[in-house]
Amino acid sequence: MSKAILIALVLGIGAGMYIPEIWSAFLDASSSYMLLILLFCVGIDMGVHREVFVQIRRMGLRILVIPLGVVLGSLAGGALCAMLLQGDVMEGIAITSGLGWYSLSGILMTEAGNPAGGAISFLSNVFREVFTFLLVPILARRNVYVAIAPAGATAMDTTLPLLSKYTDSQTAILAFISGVLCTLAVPVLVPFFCI
Amino acid sequence: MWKIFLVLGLGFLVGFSGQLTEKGLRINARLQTVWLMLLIFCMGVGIGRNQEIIQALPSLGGKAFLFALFAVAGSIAVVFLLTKLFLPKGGTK
Repeated sequence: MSKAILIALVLGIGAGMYIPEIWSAFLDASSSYMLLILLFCVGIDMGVHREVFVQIRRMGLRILVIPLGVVLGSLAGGALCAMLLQGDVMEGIAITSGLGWYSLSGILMTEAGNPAGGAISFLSNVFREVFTFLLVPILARRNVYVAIAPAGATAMDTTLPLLSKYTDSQTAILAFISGVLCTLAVPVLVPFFCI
Repeated sequence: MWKIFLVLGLGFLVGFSGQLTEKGLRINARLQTVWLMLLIFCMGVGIGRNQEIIQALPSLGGKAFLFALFAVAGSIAVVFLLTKLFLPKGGTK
């Protein structure tokens, strides 16, 4: 199934580069509406399996370990990567604390006075979303919690339908919660590490 | 962001109402697969037509790729550890 996703993605990127601007602009704009329709379908699944809310309530505050793990892992990854590239560690952490929210993280870094870092952050978080599309089907087969990890902030919108399809209703709800918290964390984390 | 909560909530109410038949749910699942592929295609279009991404790719692509790789690997590792320690076995699908 990852293969089908890869094909759809590559075809899309190719189409975006070569088809007339009017068409690509239309498809690009329609993706946000398609996402809303998909999220409606995801909501139906959550409503049908309402018993999972009881299980999630039983987990209590422990569900916070998922977004916490996503944030800590992303920051640590950024620091390690910056050390490997012999670059600025704080800048590296600022890049990965975008958590996949590329439209915001690049702008935040640019506004904080680091346009070069902002460009890398933007691109890097685009890559993160692409990786998520490819990894979720593979990870979900082994461990559904871990499948949420790559999604970061996108777990509440663009990658939620994917997570819902490849895991179960309970995991989809955990993913959504994690995505919301990550989304709230990005505008705090990125400027914090841009000093 | 409110739109996301709105459509999820609306869908939830439809599912919760129990009005959908077994067949309706199967159609819902199949529809989701098709929509998902279309959505991923359209998101690809969004990336491909974005000159900012395409122009920055040759010079910054390698670095950006590595940072994304490390962020994803780090997230997977820490989430794996923490959920093993604190959450009931989620198991696999």
